[in-house]
Amino acid sequence: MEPDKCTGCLQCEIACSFEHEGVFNPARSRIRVFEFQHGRLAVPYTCTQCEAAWCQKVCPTGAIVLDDQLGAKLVRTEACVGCKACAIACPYGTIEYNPLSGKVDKCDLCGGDPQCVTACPTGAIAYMETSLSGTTVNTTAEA
Amino acid sequence: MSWQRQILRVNLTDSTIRAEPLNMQWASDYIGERGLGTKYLWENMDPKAEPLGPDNVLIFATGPLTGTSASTSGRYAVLTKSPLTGAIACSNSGGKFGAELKYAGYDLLLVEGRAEEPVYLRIEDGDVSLHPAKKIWGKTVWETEEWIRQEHNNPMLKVATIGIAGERGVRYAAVVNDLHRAAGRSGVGAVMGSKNLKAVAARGTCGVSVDDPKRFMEVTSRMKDMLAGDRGTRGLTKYGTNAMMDTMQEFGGLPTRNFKEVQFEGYDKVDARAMLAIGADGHRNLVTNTACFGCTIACGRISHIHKDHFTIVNRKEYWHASGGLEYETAYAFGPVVGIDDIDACTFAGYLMNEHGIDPISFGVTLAAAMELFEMGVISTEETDGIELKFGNAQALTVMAEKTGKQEGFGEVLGLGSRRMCEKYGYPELSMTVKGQEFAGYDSRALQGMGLGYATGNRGACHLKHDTFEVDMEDQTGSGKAEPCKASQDWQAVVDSSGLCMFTMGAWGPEEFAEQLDADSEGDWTVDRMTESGERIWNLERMFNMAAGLTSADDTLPQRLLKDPAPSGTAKGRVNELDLMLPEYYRLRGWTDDGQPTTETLKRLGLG
Amino acid sequence: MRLQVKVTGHLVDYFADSETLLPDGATVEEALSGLGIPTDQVGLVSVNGVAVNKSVRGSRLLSDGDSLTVMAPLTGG
Repeated sequence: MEPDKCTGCLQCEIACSFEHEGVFNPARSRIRVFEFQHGRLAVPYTCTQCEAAWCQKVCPTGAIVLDDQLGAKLVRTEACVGCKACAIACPYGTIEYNPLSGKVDKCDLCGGDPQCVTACPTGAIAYMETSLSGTTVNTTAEA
Repeated sequence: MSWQRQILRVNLTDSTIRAEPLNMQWASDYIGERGLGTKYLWENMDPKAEPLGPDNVLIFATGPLTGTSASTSGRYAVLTKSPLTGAIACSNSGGKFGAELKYAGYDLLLVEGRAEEPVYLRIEDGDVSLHPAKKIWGKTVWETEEWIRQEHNNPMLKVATIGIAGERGVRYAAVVNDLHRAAGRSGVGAVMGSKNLKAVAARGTCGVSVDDPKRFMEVTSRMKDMLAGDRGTRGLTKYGTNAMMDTMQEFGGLPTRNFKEVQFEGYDKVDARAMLAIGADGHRNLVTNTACFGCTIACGRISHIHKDHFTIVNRKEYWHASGGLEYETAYAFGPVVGIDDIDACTFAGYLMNEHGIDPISFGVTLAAAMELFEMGVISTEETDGIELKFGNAQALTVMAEKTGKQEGFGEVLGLGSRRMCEKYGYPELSMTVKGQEFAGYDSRALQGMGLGYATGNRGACHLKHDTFEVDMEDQTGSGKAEPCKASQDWQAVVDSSGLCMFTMGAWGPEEFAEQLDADSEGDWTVDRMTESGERIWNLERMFNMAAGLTSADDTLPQRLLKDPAPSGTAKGRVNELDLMLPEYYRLRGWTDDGQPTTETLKRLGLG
Repeated sequence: MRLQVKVTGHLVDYFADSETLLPDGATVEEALSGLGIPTDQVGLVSVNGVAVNKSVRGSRLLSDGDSLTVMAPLTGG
């Protein structure tokens, strides 16, 4: 995610909500854009599928599982009881309780074809091999 | 079907709030936004009502495509009877507020009556209420948004608000949303102020759905690719609308010093290139670009002022970045007042957003004041010691602030140029049509634009028609009536769709039709939409006639009809309105007196 | 022949204002092509301050020392 390229258009939020809910509803998007300083800075942010995975660690029912291939932490909704422990534990605020479903929502990388990436007009959000991104990670999961 | 099928009716006199079903027949006949809002206005008020009185109605209207995945899906319109012109006002804005209103579950918000004490309206999905605005009455636009979000502990609230200018009835006060987007023209902010309505804050989590999601996504994706591939549109992303200034200069249609001239020697100090130029100390006016909701073009400018500039050197509160110069703001604070100080122009632009004022009307009003000052009609005694001379940057920045806060001579400037010039006995110096000030295209150089200005339903407005191409190619008035009329009808369609007109460089009627058809129920074809556009135009005209306007108001100032352009491509020319107007009335199906005939009204379902 | 070329608007992306050399007897259309400016991106061309209609771009000849202004189309806003 490259804030310098983000214009705050919110097409990522529109696409994410559509992919997961079938309607255009940024309020239900798993990716959010934060604007600062009268629009000088716009920062798209979502779950980075972090190695620490505090959400997974605190979940009392084991509802959060790792997808080995994608490296994504996924919520198994059938096991989620909506206790919100994960929402409290996540230091980034990227797993959120959904009052309509009674469960939590988070980024699931859309099964390997992130819709936010497709929708982004400037390339501020990109999905690539970690080796190409210049980021070093400790996890074995490769995008 | 992307309508929520629900509108909100707020009566400020009784403090009642009601949700009503959206009139689907009207949505079908008038598309949405501008057209739908006009119909609701027509059916809910008497066009003879006093604009600043309780019987005026104020409408916030979204379009069918607002809030969808279509590119530029953030538009909405504010409609009312204008206190500046006495005609219909339909002011379009972007940002995020419009989409949020739709997400909250409302296609349109209709406000009537007048509150006894200042209030603001809070809409959080189905939870809607009026709150006392005592603590924010007198606060700026920027302070108000901050305060409301904190008060309700909701940083996601999108706020459309007025500043002191709107509260105090500045005739061209604006409604500003999302800090630096605005429903800018015709004084819609003053109407809001007259109702004691400070702000409308909305947060929506209902979402918007369409009839055929798969088809809709395919169509809108394809349309986004078209936009991304269009070179002219990419130019907008990179340079913003101010890229037009040097074109207008070279062409010779850049109104300068209250339209006395059509070229400005200092243009290259305030144009798009100047915004990108890097100074010796590394300062650059432009910081970045920004987008409205859903927009993949991102023409918005974010700028900052040089830290040593006289306007902000001792004012820390303005050291931050904010909305930068659009073409119209640059013209109104640059050429038309003879100023070439980009920091002064940018600072004045900040003040316009902070206080909620239309920069076009302010700049042209100031230009008239400068001409009167240079003639010796206005003296420094009245202007609190400031010399209102063309080229005086301090005059611009000090007066912008005084007008925003309604202090001193700002109270005179707040009348708008028509009332101000009448007050001093020089009405011919007011560069307006129907009382609304011109945008930055001189009618002597662009003849068809002049016709559009003269016949525009909201007064001098550059956004309701587009004859640029034919005007550049042919500098006479011949053959301009047809493209003017056709573009007026089509523009009404775009203004009613929920999408932004800046897509029109890449999208033709077919592209709009495809998107609307995939979004809404019923068959939407180019023909049906064009006819709706014509219907909308005629309904606006009917409103104006009922309000008391006549064909005598379809005219231009003497300066443009009698004083030839002194330089440029159109040197020696005056606007040929006499040649174009009769043909225009004929094409419209109106009488020689500019009234829609019974035949025309019947054909359009209006009579 | 030497030409003084000026462009406006977003056309700066195609050509920076400067003096340029083109073959003698070039037409306006040929000049645009030589400068790398796509014709669909051109609003109006003027030579020595006089507008040159679209229809005659192919026939209007340029001379040494001419100043050529290539204007972007206007879009409104």
